[in-house]
Amino acid sequence: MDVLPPPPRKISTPSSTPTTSRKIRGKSIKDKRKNGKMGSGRAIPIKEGYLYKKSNKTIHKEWNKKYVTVCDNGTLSYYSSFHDYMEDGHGRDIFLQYTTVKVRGMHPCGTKSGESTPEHLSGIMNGFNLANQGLAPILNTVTSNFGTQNIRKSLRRRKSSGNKTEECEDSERYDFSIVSLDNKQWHFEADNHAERDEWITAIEKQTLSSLQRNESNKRQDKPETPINTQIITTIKNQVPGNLNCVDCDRPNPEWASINLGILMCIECSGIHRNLGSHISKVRSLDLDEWSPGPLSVMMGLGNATGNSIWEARPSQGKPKPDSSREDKERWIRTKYENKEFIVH
Amino acid sequence: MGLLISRFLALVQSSQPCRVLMLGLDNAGKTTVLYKLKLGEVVSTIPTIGFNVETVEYKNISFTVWDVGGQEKIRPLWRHYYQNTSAIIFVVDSNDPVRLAEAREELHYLVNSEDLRDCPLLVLANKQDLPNAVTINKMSDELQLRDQAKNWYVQATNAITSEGLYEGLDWLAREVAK
Repeated sequence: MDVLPPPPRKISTPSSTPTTSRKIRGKSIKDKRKNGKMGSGRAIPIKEGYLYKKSNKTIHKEWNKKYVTVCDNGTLSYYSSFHDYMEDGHGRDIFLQYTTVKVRGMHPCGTKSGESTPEHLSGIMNGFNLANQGLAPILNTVTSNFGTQNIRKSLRRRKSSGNKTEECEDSERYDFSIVSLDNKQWHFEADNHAERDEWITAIEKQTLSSLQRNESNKRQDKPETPINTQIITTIKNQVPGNLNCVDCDRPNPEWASINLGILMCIECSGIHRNLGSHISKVRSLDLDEWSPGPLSVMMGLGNATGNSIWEARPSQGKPKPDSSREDKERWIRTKYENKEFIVH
Repeated sequence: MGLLISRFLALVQSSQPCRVLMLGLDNAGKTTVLYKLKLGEVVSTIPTIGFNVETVEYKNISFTVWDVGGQEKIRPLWRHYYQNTSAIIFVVDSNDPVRLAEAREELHYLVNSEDLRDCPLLVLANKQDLPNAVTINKMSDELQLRDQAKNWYVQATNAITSEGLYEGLDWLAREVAK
């Protein structure tokens, strides 16, 4: 499209006032001039907004406000201003494929602890955890919100003074860093918890999907047989009881015990792994290769059948999705290790 | 000025850096080993999708340990972590003898790759406390390590109690210092 048609004179709906049309026309012409052609298109950000970024200078660390975007091509870009972003200039890119997000005071990723003990591991770094189900509760374990706008401002002043002390480091509650495979680090800070969590989720999603796109380069060409994909879909959706975790009832479980024939959420899968493979052999429905044997076990059993055996006796205290890790672990050990709910 | 001096001292006294790649099948115990070394405590883990990285200071060596997820479909990504690696830790679940052949296949692929040619290999025969655990002798046989020209060492471990972990690091520290 070269030029938008002139705004129709009589239309006065809010969405198509002459003013709006003029704006659109102006912008598209500018873009056209800049890109040389129309329609090439920039990546659409799945998350964008302002963050503070710690400068990389060796001595005087400063926090500068940046306009940051995370795009679905697996890139995080930061710009000095929104204007720079609009002009598509002066941006710096971080390719998220081989990065991990670390958050001060959170449980290391790939690890998780009960919500009841939120902070005993403070100061450790956090690998990336793409566990969709696992992530939200982990993020919630971070210390309570203490930051009002005012506290934040004073924090910012202290930061910009350039001589940060250890205490000051400690009070940065909304910051996170991105660490790359070659050990580069970028530090950002959001305005509040929710914002930070949204950024982390967006970044981790992009890391995972970039890694998955990379699948095509894998060293062994073992293309997923469509039949397996079909069977796995059937196991997830058709086998009775499989829509929820066998132990805590969380919806859409994606992890399996291939000897027990049951499906569970990622958190409960972590507990099953603790039992030892002589009790439960855990695999991922999506991240492991499946051969016909285990698939037929999964087809033949399932959560309803499994629980008709493992929870045959009426039993108290079955955990819910938001129960603590400790409660879940207690339940799972009693159920499969001590076999207390089986009818002998 | 004080800051400058402390930075200078840190530079002078800094320990020898060593990039360690810690791999192994899913559920071998890699993340538990990593955080037992880092924090001295057992953390509750969930499967690692992606990687964790921590720096562990030991015997004046600063080990940067990369713990990469072991699920079958993410194993092809291990090779992206090979470059500049000084040592490999390969963690095996000793209690799952059925999967030793699978572990061997992955391990041999690793040790034969050009980027890792000169890296010493520490195998942690983990979960020795569990009932079906194989001995380190059986492990060395099953993994066919004896045929490898590479510098390797098998250490029996129990990451929960940290038994064997530091013995393994001792060996690694000696090899890296060579």
